[in-house]
Amino acid sequence: MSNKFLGQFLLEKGIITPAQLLKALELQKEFNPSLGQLAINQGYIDNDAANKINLEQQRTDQRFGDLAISLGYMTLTQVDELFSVQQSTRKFFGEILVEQGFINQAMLEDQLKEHQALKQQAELSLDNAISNHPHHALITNTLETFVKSFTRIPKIPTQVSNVITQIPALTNDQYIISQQANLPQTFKIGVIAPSELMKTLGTSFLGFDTSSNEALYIDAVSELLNIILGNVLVINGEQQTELSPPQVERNSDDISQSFTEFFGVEMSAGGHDFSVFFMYN
Amino acid sequence: MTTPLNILVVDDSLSMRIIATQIIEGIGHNIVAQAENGKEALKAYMEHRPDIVLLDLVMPVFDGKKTLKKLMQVDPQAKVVICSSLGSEGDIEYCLNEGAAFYLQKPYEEQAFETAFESITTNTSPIA
Repeated sequence: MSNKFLGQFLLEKGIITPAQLLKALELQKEFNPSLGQLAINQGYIDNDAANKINLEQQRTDQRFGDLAISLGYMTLTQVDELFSVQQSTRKFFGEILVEQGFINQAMLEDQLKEHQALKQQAELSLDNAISNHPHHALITNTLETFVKSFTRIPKIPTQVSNVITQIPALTNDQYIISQQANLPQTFKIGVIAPSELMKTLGTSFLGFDTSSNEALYIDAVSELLNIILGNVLVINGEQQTELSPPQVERNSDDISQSFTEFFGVEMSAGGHDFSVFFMYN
Repeated sequence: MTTPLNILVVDDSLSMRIIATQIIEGIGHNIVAQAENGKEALKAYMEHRPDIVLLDLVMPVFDGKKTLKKLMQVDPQAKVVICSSLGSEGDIEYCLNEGAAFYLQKPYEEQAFETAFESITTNTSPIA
């Protein structure tokens, strides 16, 4: 059982329908607007300013409100006011399901407990699989850096779900992007990601819509991988490091030939599943 | 505001060239040329003689370390800022020994670029 988000979990159990899930997701967005959206609604900033602040957010490790103040777009009082609005309108996903009559309160509580327990179980078996692996330090550092970097650079919440033991066959919309690192043992480390996630990552990374430019979003994700692995090697304490340029493939047969061992982890970012894998001999 | 510098950006990634351009032009400097690999970089360097070269390390064929070496042979006064995802002590040491003027680790930060450029124009310490 993977680390699924509550809505998906309920959908797969047949407790809510796809239409209800979609409706609840739409309402969730409506009830949980970003600070930038609230600022635009209140007339404190325009779209242009919001985009500039978002772009700056990708380069610095600061929150939207703090940046809006330091760049002179809003005052502290305005940001505080927006925070209170945000708090007072916030609704949890389960709360929305109950309010819409898709599920009753008692059932929600039961399902939440079950969902939580499964999540913990999945986390525990994942932890065991990683800590028993001969290259656990490299794997742990890589996964942690992925989560941290995705959350910080393109600002996309990311989590680790479960282990995969062989390279999956690719669907039409998936890409493999990988790099070879000599540590000095040679590892091929990469991601298998769907194009929708790559579009989201590219757009967030560059600060403008990249979804119609395949070459550009592939390039952006390749560079993100390069940044992440560069950081992993530093954390891993490697001295002179050798990292090959990112390589993009559409067929899993192409990459598995020169390595005998495979370890992969399924992750999700911004609602899209992807995998991070390690190959070595 | 300091005098605008003329900068050559060398990175095989279009995304990183876009981001670097946004930051550099945003802080008032000029991009005189962009190159996707070491060979193009050397050609562009000879043609434009930029004040500063931003050089990526991980590039196909003619990588950043080779390019750095070559650039320093062609012009021992060249001011090269390494911009890399790599950031181990060994990599930093190698590049500074080979004559790089500054070392920045990706992801890019505006402040780090400003520090690098200021350090080069006033000739101070070379590590970000």
